[in-house]
Amino acid sequence: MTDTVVAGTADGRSLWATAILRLRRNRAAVASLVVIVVLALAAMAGPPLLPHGYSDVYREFVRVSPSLRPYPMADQIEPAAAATLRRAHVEVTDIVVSGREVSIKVNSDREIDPRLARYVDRSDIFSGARVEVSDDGRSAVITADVVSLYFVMGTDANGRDLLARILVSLRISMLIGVLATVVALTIGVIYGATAGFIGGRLDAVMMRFVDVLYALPYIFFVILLVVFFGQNLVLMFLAVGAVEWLDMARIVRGQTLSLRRREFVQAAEALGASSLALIRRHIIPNTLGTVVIYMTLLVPKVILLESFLSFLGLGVQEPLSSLGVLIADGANNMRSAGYMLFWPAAAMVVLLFALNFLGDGLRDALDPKDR
Amino acid sequence: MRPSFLTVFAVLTFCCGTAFAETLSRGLPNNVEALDPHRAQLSSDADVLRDLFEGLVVHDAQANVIPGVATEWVVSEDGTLYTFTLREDSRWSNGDPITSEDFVYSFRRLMDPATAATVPDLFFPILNSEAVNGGELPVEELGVRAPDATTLEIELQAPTPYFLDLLTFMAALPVHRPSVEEFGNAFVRPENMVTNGAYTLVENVVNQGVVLEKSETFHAADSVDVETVEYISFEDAATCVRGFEAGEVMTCADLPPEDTKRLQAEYGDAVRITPSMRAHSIVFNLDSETLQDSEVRRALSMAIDREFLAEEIFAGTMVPNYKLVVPGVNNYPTGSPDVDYESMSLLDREDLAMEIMADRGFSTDTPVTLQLAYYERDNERSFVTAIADMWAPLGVELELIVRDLSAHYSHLAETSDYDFARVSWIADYPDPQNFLYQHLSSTIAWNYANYRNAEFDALMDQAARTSDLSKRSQLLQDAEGLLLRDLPFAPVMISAQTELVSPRIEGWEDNSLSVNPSRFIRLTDG
Amino acid sequence: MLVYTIRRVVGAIPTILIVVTLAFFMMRIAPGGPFDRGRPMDPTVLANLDATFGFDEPLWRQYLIYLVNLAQGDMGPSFIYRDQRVAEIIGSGLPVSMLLGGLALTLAVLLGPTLGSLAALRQNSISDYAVSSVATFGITIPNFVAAPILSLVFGVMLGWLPAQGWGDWRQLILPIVALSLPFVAIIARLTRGAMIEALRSDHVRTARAYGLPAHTVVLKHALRAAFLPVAGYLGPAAASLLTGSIVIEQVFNLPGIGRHFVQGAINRDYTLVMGTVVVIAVFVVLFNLMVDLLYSVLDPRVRYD
Repeated sequence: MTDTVVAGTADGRSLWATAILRLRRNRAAVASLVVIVVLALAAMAGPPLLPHGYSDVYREFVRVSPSLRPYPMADQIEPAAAATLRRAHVEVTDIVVSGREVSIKVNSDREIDPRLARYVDRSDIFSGARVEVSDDGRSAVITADVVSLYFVMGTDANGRDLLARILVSLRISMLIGVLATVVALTIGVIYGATAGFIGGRLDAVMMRFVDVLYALPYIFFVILLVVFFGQNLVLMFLAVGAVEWLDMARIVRGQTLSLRRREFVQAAEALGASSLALIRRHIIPNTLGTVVIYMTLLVPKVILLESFLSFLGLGVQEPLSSLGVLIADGANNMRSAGYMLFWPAAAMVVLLFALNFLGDGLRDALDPKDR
Repeated sequence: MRPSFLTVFAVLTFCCGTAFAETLSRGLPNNVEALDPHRAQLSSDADVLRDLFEGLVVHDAQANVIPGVATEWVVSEDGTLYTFTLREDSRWSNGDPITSEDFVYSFRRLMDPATAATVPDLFFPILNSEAVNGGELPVEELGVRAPDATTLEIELQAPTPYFLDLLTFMAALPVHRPSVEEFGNAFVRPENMVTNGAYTLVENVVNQGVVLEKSETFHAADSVDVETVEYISFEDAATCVRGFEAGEVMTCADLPPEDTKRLQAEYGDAVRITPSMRAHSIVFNLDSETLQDSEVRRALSMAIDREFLAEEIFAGTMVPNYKLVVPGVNNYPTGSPDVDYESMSLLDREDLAMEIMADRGFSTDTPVTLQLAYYERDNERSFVTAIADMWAPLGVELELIVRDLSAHYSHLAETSDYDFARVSWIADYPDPQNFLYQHLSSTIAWNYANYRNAEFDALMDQAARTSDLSKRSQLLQDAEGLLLRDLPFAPVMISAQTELVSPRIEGWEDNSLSVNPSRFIRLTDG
Repeated sequence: MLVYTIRRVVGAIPTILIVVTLAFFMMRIAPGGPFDRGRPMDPTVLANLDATFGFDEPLWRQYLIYLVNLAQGDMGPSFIYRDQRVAEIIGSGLPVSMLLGGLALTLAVLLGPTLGSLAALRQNSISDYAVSSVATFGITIPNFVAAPILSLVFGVMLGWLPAQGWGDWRQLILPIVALSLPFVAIIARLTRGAMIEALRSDHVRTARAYGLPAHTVVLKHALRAAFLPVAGYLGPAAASLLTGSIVIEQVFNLPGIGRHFVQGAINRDYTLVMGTVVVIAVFVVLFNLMVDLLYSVLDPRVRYD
């Protein structure tokens, strides 16, 4: 047997059908696929099921650490109750906390307005406040229920639930990861294969164009996109795809230069196959192994690049978020609130591990020599 | 003390890699951009220039104005003529004497259009300066004269009570004429630079920093303790903090807000938090339909929970602010007028604000969507997110538009395509006028709110012509009152300058101008 | 080959010209300018600055003036570092970036293929998974997270190495590690994939069948073939490594030129950004040429004619 690889081989199974069959036998790859699907489902369907919306702000709970127990913690209730009534021009004499209920005794030189309850209810922490005013009207007891808020991954700098934010970010980052990578891949593979296959002057011109794009100050390109098109997710994919296809094109072109001279390609050419057919049926399938590997490298790059674009005004904006933005925020807070970095980074690592093993499996499955 | 012992000691400390005892390493929050006093702009530049040069008057460790090259000065009755007497023992670092001609030359260079100085406009109070800078008059017409070698006269257009404060600014520093004429722009290179301050320049590398060495020709050299000062530029404050913790840097400025509480817990008094002269606010574009109504603007300003922003979002590195003029300015005995809602409880304020908005048909059920333009930096994103949350109950849904700093400010200056905009203003000099003049109708370029009020203009104009300080203060207070009534923007917070200062440093006095000349600093072993 | 090389070097000039032209107009169309920095400028002062820097000329004239100066090796004054010329700033920063980048590149080129081959030779073994996992971490954890952690752990907590700064060889270690990490990871993964393919190819099988020693087969034949995709990636990677990294330079406070590309753009320091753009363009062209020549060394079938 020679190096020959022809899509649609003798037994009639297509390249992809064989690949899928083989992929199913690879346990690590299947497990990875499951992880990715679970993450995707959690990102799509998860946010509405959570107790907190991704944009709900809890001003009393800014940067609280992850905990399986409900907030406010027992020791936070008393100061919170005192703080709530500090605004109400009454003197707090006693606060009793029993479980998830609090009763506050207050005094005042003026007559106490039972609408005092409003101050307590307006806080995020208490609900169902009842006021019993004493006969002389100068003292009262306020009883209120203490809410139970769960922040299993803590909250961010604005007091928003980190878990909800990670899930909604995952949704956006996976979308960017997939779309921008597909854009980059498609352009890169076709461009690289064409340049490498045709070679000569066209190759030279096409590759010099790639060199030009490498050297341009990308940041101005982004600023200009924002100026002319405003904030727009589609543009972001374009912007990301527009830079990230360059490496792909160079790699595929390098491979093609070598494949072009191989016997099987030359044989097919001698048999009268058109250039298009040669590229489609011989060159591209033989570069797929490397392409798949590079794809798994591209996804994290793209996801992180997005955060940079967000800061310049392109890309997702508050209150939405993305993994890249969360990780960047986490990096700023790593000394004082390590969990703000840990959880988004963990989500990213899990996603990428799964993607890598899937990529390896896919590469093995697509390997033409392994049939 | 025997010299041999000293030498051995010096060699020992040097060989073993511990910090060189006489070197003070100061972390700067930015790059040093320029060391030409007339072309410099940043506070980092000012820090270094303060050590290199001495002006007519200078700041002491507490940022009080004290004599510099001038030992005394007389101000004429009408406040428009300053006569300075220069000290006779003042020398440039190459030994040349400093004369009043040096200052005449320097002020002319500052105003010369060919110099293209960065902020000569601060000195436009000097007679004819604006015309000179605009190229309409020759530099010789500038109101700065040298009747003799030790006398300098500066004539002003109008009384300017903050003129001495202005003279501490870097643009008023003298440059050495022979070296400027010989080397042109390259006079600031270490091998060419001649200075008259406590230090001379040894090294200056972009992105790295500046090294200074004590000048022996400085008239007060005996009182200068630190031999070598190393200024290290840090674009990333977290890096400076790590350097400080690893014992590589002795001071850091502009600490990362999210890290401040941890640093306070770990380093206690080494963390210095001092209210500064940088005011943060949200501009209301008066050309925006919804915001034309001053009651709407009042409601929005009222609903901002400034304590939450200062304490939680900026972790105590900001101070809530309701006024235009920040506390700590000079020449303002009357102080700012009161703001009625400052003393109200937040809940009452929110209720009142919702009521005002509801009267105009805005509520959570019938919200209006407005755009807030902001720039990417530090905690800005958290800040505007919190604002959006505070205004949501009023029926205002914010669309947040971020740009990089340069694009943001050019967008504000060139378009009116925003409803709200995030701005901050650092005082150039501690005078109330510096916080008010942006709102004059005539200052189109940076009147981002597009505010026009003839009454305000008239008050400001009158204040500018008044030499009596208490009358002037009253006029400025009335002017500030108008702005607080009309609210072309909502004052929100004042930055606190946050610094890490090693316990080894003595003589570092916290002050609202963040002025800490190295010549007043002593290094101890502690 | 020589003719090809000469043709490519000559061909670099129009490439760089196009880069300069596009970059010039992109920067100038973008909103904001070097003097929009929060403190608004007085119109008189601004007019003087504009006149000094030639901003009062029509854009096309400014472009031509810039080109003429550039052709004479003058990259103009910096708009932000007002005392200095762009050439001076780049002259002081480039050696720093090149030293760091060069060492990081060496590390990546040595370590990446070694790890990748190791994994490929023992496919699906523990060492394969270990390499894969480390590589995945290297790719996933961005350098703005990895670099501060390195500085924190080794500089602040353990005190083994300086946490930041420039001037001593010990200050090079952490930045180089942080800088090379993602490149090691990417090269290792690319090598592993290509190596597995190469090991199964006919000529390696043939070589093995001839009884050549295993290491000869791996080194001479398989690795050579496997290096092809790595080489394609290496050109631009080397160019970007040698021209500095904004994150690493900021986190370790190093005086390289990587920061000017981004910080200069944020400051709208047009000439400084253009200076770095020219440097980057030269490096990209140079390294891509080297890689193209390398292709024909790695695979003699590749010819340029």
